[in-house]
Amino acid sequence: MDASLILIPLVLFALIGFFGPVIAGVYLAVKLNGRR
Amino acid sequence: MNTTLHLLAEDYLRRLEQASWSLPSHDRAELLAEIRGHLQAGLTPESTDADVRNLLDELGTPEDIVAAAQASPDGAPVSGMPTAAPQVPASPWGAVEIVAVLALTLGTFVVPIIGPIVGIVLVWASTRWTHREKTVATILTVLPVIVLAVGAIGLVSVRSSGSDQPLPVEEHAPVVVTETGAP
Repeated sequence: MDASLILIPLVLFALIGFFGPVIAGVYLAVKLNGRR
Repeated sequence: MNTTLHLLAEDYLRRLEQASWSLPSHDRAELLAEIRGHLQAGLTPESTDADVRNLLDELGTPEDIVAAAQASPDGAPVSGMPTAAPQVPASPWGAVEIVAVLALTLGTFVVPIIGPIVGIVLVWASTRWTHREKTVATILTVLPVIVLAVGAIGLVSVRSSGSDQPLPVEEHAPVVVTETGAP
């Protein structure tokens, strides 16, 4: 099996993994700011 | 009877603490601090038991205060309770909250894996987010990691099974033995 077929989904998964905490941080910031 | 007065007030605060368990942690801490401040302002060392009881009666029962706090939007002061001083709207951002959000957003890229872990620990250490908000943030952080892990394991297993796949063999093919030739 071609290595790129493995790498492309893995990179996509890694991007999702990176953006999860970022989304969580933005969510918490919005919630806290909305409490002013 | 200074000790008795304080005991009555402390007992009241203890009952309020127990009754307010359902409030968000931030609102609960704010409410308890507000009531404690009100009691401290309204009582003196010379206050009698009757004075304390009158003050506590003015406040209402702990259950009434919790109900009023739940009914009032964004933790407004409890009705009927005089405010000691005009409240200056304090920023909801504390040091813990700032570091937690930075660890989750920037920390994810600067210090992968460790940054989000530190961020989530600080989020749970903070009292300014509700339990629900903390849970949502934790799921948002952890779920992609689980998806990533499951996806990686799945891809590796697909890859290994695809490359090492043996030729198909009919394992349970019936073996037919025929005897030919006459005895």
